[in-house]
This record gives sequence, structure tokens and C-alpha cells, in this order.
Amino acid sequence: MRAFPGEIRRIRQRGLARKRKAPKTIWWRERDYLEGEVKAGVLILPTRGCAWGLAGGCAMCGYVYDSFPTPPDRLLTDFKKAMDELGDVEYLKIFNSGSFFDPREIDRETSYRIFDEINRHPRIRRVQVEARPEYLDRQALRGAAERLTPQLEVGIGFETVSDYIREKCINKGFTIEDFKRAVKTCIKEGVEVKAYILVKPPFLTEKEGIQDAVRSGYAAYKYGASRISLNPVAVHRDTLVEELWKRREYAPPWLWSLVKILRDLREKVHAPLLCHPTGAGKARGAHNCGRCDSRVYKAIVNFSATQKYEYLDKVLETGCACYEVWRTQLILEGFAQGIFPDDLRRL
Amino acid sequence: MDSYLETIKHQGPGRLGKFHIDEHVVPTPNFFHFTRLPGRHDLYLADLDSKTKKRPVVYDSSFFDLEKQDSNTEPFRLLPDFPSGFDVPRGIAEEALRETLLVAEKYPGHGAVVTPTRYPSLVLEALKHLGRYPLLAVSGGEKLASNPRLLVEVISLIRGAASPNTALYYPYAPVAMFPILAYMGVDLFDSAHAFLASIRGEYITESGNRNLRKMRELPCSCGACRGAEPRDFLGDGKALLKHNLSVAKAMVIQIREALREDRLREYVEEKASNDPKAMAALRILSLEKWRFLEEYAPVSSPTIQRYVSQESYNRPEVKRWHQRLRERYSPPDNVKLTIILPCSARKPYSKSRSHRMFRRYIRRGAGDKLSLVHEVVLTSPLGLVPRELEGVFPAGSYDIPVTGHWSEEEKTVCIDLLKDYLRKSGTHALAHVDGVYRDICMEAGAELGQEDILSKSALEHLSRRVAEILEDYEPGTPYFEARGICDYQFGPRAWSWLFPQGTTRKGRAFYHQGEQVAAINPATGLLALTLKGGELLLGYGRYLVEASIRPPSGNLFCVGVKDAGEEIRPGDEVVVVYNDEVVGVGRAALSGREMTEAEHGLAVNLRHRR
Repeated sequence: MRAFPGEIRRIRQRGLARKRKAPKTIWWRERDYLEGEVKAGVLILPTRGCAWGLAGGCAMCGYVYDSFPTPPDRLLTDFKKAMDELGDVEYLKIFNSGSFFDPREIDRETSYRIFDEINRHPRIRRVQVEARPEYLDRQALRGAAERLTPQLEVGIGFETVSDYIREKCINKGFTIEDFKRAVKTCIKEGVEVKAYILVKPPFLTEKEGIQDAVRSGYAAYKYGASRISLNPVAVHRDTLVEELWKRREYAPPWLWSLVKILRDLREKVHAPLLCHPTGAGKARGAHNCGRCDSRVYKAIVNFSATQKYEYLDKVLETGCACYEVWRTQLILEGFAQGIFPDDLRRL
Repeated sequence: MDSYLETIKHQGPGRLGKFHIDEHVVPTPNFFHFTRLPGRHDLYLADLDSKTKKRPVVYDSSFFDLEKQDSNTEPFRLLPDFPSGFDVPRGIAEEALRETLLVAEKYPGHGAVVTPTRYPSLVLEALKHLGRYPLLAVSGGEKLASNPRLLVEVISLIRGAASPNTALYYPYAPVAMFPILAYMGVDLFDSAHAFLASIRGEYITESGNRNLRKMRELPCSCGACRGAEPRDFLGDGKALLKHNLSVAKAMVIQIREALREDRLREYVEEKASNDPKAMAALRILSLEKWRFLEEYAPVSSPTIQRYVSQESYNRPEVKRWHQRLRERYSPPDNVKLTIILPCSARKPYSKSRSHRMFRRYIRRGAGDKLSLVHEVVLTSPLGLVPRELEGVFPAGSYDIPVTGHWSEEEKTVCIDLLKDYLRKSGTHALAHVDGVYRDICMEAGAELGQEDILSKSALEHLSRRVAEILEDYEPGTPYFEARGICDYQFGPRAWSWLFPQGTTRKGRAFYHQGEQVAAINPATGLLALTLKGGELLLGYGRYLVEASIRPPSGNLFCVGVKDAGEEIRPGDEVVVVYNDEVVGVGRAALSGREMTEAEHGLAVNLRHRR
């Protein structure tokens, strides 16, 4: 699409020009699922930032604003400290708001030193990093997999099975073929793939968002991803999504939609389904009417950590008055109208 | 099968029509109900009138699914647009339009969405590609409707650029806006607003939406409301939805009825007074787009026009009256005295008691010089009505609330027209008027008679002054009254073509060399032509419809119209020409531009043909 990237670039430049503090390495513990529920550690490393994102990037992504070129030594010191504090986690997820295998973000040597540090923690069974497909070449993967003792897993922002949506609505900058190739390479090198599915990209109605996520989750699984992570759009500052959201032309998905997507994927995907909505219950994150948000959010998180559908069944049984509003929205929305704004939800 | 809308009649751009969808025929304006039926399509739009589960329009709810669907052999459907939304940066709007057109162009003959309506220049661009599609949906819905200026701009633009056979559909129209939208030429509405209002806890009434929670009683006796109380409507919202849908449907039926009875404009004025946005749209439309309204406004109507509010002064036929008086009409020659009279409730004025009295005294004063006197009548909102035009629509059939209070605007219109008339006539003007009329006449430079106009003294004064003013003149030849009507109807000096030297009058009919050329239609006050009249008027070069075939019956359809004068309005008397020969005369059903552009529907109802 010719004009959207232009619009995205304009917003990106505005966002990058805003002064901000140099971010620090941050980490926390959360519940996750491997063969059963496990304690996971999440670690965010500030690096130079996603090359694609810095040049404009994706319609919904504001992570580049949290990035900052950090000297490798500083990065390692932080990393060691974090590892000590995270304690007995079995699953470690390292995010650098970009591509772990882009040497401009993390050079090869630093990454090896990070792996060495991880290897000192025998409880860790699995390590996840993230990268765009173009950085997932055989050499990089083989080097990493050989160096690292725990199972390596790479998260790829597949977002959607539709090339049209990925290009026109997200501006992701790669195609389904790129993704398939990257997954194949990963599998060949013994690296597992976690596919990120974007729930409700801009310009999609709630219903289209659901359908697209279900199709995409299934497709990612078929292409070889061993874990599927559903990521509802959250409204980041200085993004195209925020611009639309402010004009009341975009609203993040309902939590009910996430419940539906997870349930719809139940029979189709025989791999863990994960969903940790950011900013859930808030205006900028996936939310419902405000009364039932924490209840539904908890059910989703409990499901993610256990893969037990009873949590979702139960929250549906209890329901909420806003459930009917959500259903009506699925019928009516998009009729030459674009997206329903939030005000209906918050009644 | 072909799908198209056929116009039956207009009131302004608003129209009564028949929408042919495949083998179905749906009367318009109409109301589409969203229905979910089993099958691979998500949504059907069922019209108000289908008793059975007919499926006139299939709606493909997702733009992103289209690649999976097959093409043209499907039943008529509405193609979705790239759903960019309404209020988006222009770059995105441009791209959304491009994407929408890429898809729409693969499916001609179906319905398409005009998107995005935030930018009128893009709407125009969309119309270049979609202008001949049988159905166009306006994107933007509620958001566009809340911006009256843009709404008027966009709808008039679409209606002007799209084929007359294109049905215009306004999804998500707020029920309060149905009348004004219909008046601007929207043919199809839907149930979306009723759904949304129900979700929001709004109880729709004919005069706006109410907050259900604040209501103590239900002022309606529809199936849902009968015997119910507001609190019964809380809960799942189904009863509220049922009520809301019934009001929305009733509104569409009211609009159709109003169109049939030529009182849509009146209905619009009435309903707009409940809704500031609708009123803003009506005012902007009337003041800034009156040419758009006038082009579709019929030249006559059997219905009495009630000019009851300030909005009525700007009705297209009123403004047309002002314009034609200035541009087409000229006062009779050889007249030496203009007498200005007030209007009367009874129409035509000359049938009223007051006018019969005035005229008795005028005749008494003028004696055998009566042909030197010309009477004009002051009135609001028409301003000025020369006596010979008193039977012409709308002068012959209007009603106003008479209070003696005039707005500045009403006065100004009157003064300007009177001044213009007196300048053209160049005669002495004597005003036999009272109240506000006196200010007007004074302003226009007329001599004022006595104030108490129905008193014997004032009337005798009138007689005396007429006699005095005409004292020095010789009696003249009687004025040929149809001249004024002819010019008003066809254009300046059209009379010299239609009524050559030696034309005579017998009752309402006019003869030349023993052959009838025209007659005054008592219902409209306008001239109806004979074939002979048509031949005479041919040289004038206006009000001609060029047919591409010799009309085989009493009806000339749009498909047989090659060209038609742009001055032609619905209801106008026209001359039908084929191969430079007059082959018929009759009444236009549509405006000239519309009958030229349209491919379906009646163009001219022929009175005589050869």
C-alpha cells in the first residue's frame, strides 16, 4: 500500500522526536505453560531497536520508543542481575523489542555471552527470543542452538495468515512465504517456533478480527509453529493505531473475542495456546464493559497457564450484560462504517 | 438480471421509485432489515415490503474475504469497501478508495460503497468509477450525519454525479434524519440505528430519541409498547428493539406517503424541527444548494402547499418563483398604472371577497381604460404575484399563517421584487394596502392609498385616484393575459413564438388560424400545448425533448430520449422532436438532465402525438 507507510513514517518520526528517558533492563515473573504450568521469567533488553520499526514499521507497534542503544557490557551486567533475581524460573523469555538475531541490535558475541550466562542456570528448560524472519538464517540459528543448553524457541510475529492484511493493514514488511521459510529453517536447526497472532489489526471489524485470528492461529500451527500466542492489539503511543483510536476509528478487541478465538481454536490446534493481553481492561488494551473485565481477563490468563478450557467455559456461563452488545456488534459492524468506537461497550 | 431504480415521481431530489433487484421489485424509499439466514453469506437485507423471506440484497460482510468468493453470476449483492473508517487522514482515505475500487470494478452490476465520505474530492473520484452502479451505499453513517454541512455536500454531490437509475442507500442513518436524507435523494435506509439505539437504551420516537431510563410512560401503541411500561423494556432489550424497529419502519412509510401526496418537503420541515442536525442540513441545503433542489422540484402540484415556517420561505418552488419573475416575466406593455393589492386567503385571489371589491372600484375608476391598469398582489413568501399569474402554481394553491407580522426577510423579498417589477414596467404605482404592506410599498416608491382598505372611503379614494391618473390617456387594447403565463413557463418572450399575431382566445383555449395551440390547465395555471402549439414553440428552442425513436405509444421512456433541454423540470410541458419533426407534446416526468441520463423509467407522458 502506497500511502499507509507514508502515514506510518510520519507518525514514527514524530514519536522518535519526542524526548524520552533511556530505558533500563526490566524483568518480571509470570505464569506460563510448557508441559504443565511453569514459572516463567520475562526480560526486556533495551537495544538499538527494531530496524523495520525505526524506518516506520508496523501500524500498531510502539516498542521502538522503548529501545535505546545500550553498551554490551552494561547489557550483560543487567542481564546477570536479572537472572539472579528471577530465581527458579523454568522458562525464560527474552524480548528486545526487535530481532534478537539482528547483529545491529545484539552482536553475535554478546548473544553468546548471554547464552553462557543462561547455561549456568540448570533449572531453565526453555529460552525464548524473538526475531523477524529475515534474521532467521541457518547460521545464526545453528550457532545459537549449539551454544545454548536449554531448548531454544523463537517468537515470530506472523500476525495473520492473510498477506493482504499483513501488508495493507499492518505494514509488516514480509510475506507468508518468508514466514514459512523461517519456520522450516528453525525446525531443521532444532529450534521451536512460537507464532504471534495479532488479534484485530486496524481496519478489521471485531468479527473479522476473530475470523482472521482463528484462521491465522490454525495456519501457523499447520506451518509448524509449536506454540501459538494471541496478541490483542493494544494502543501504543505514536502509532497509526493510536491515530485511528483517537479519531474513534479504532477500538481494541473485546475480551469476549479472545475467549471466542481460544475456544474456536480448541479442536484445530494441538499445541499450547497462549494469551497475555497487555493493558487488559483499560481503554488502550483489550477490554469489555468495565464490569466484567477482570473476571474475563483472569479466565484467559488461567487458561493460558493451564490450557484448561473449563476456565473459559465458566466465564461464559457467568456471562455479563455486555455479552449481547458484543454479539450485536459482530452482526452490525463494518457495514460501510469502519470500526465501532468504544462508547457502546462502556454503557 | 439488470438491477436499477426507476423514478416514479420527485419532490426535490427526493423520489418515489421502484428498485428492480434481479427479479424483485422493491418500492422506494424503503427500509432494509438486517437478517441473518443460514448459508455462506452472513447477512441479508430484507426490505420492508417483502412478506415472505425474500432476499433482495446479499451483503458480503468482509472486504478481506472477497478473494475467496466467486463472481458475477451471484444474486445482486452489496460489495463492502475497504473499511478505513470515516475520520481518517487523507492518505489513508485515498488508499482505501483505491483498494475499494480495485474490488468493485470486478463486479459491475452490483452495489458498491462510496468511500470515504470525509473528503468530497475523493467522493467525486469514486463516482467517476461507480456512478453507474445500480446501488451505492454512503459510507460514514452516523459520523457523516452528525456533520450537516459535509452531509449536504456529499449527498448532493453523489446524487448529482450518479446515474438517476442508481439507488442511494444510507446505512446507519439515524431515524431522525430519514426525512431530510430522503429529501436529498436517499432511497434506502436500514435497521442499524434501531439496533444501536436499543443497545444504548434509547427509545426512538418520531420526534427524536428518548432515554428509556428517564421515561415514566410509553407514548406509543405498537405491539411492543401496548400495555407495557418503560421498566419492562430494560433487560435484554428485545422489546425496545421491536418498538424502535416499528418507529423506523413507520418513518419510511410516512416518507413514501408524503412523496405520493407532494408534501415531503413539508414533512421534512416538520421533522427537522425536532433535530438540530437535521435542521442545519435543511437550511444549508435550502440556502446553498437550492439549484440542486430546484432541478428536481416539480413545476406544479395538485396539493396545497403550506408555507408554515421560516424554512418554507426557501422552498425551491418559492425561490424559483422569485427567479422567474426577475428573469422570465415582463410586465405587460401599454399599461399606464400598476395597482398594488394585498393577498387574500382565498385562491385565486380574484375569487376572494376583498379582491372582488377592490376590482369593482378599480373598474369604476378606470371605465373604458381598464386595459391600461395592471394589478399585482403582494404576498409572502412568493413576494409578488402579477394578476395574470395568480392561478399558476404555487400562487394558486398555497396557505400561510396570517398574522400581520412579517420577518425582515419576507419584507426584503417583497420590496426587491416590487422594485424590480416597477422598474421594468415604468408606470405609476398606486398601492391599496394596509399594515406592513404600506412599509413595503413606500420603500418601493409607490403612492399609498388610504389605510383602512375595506372602508368605503378608502375604496372611493382608490376609484378616484385611478380615474385621475388615467385621465390623460386614451383607452388601449386589452392585454393578452396568457403572455405572462407563457413567459413564466417557457422563458422570456416565449409568447411571441407560441402566440403569433392574430391569436385568439376562447375560454381557456387559444387559437391561431382556427387551430388550437394551447389551453390553460385550470389545475396548474400553466399552459398545455397542442401539436400545433409545439410546432410554434419549436423555433424558440427550449423545452424540447429529442427522441431517438418515434414514440410508439403515449409514453416516451428514458431509453428513447436522446437529448433534452436542461431547463426542463418534472411536470413541465415539453415538445418531443424526432428527426427535426414535432412528434408529440406532453408532460415531463423528470427533469431534462435526468431523462437524458437515465436508461429506465418514464420520461414524458404524451398528450398528443403523431
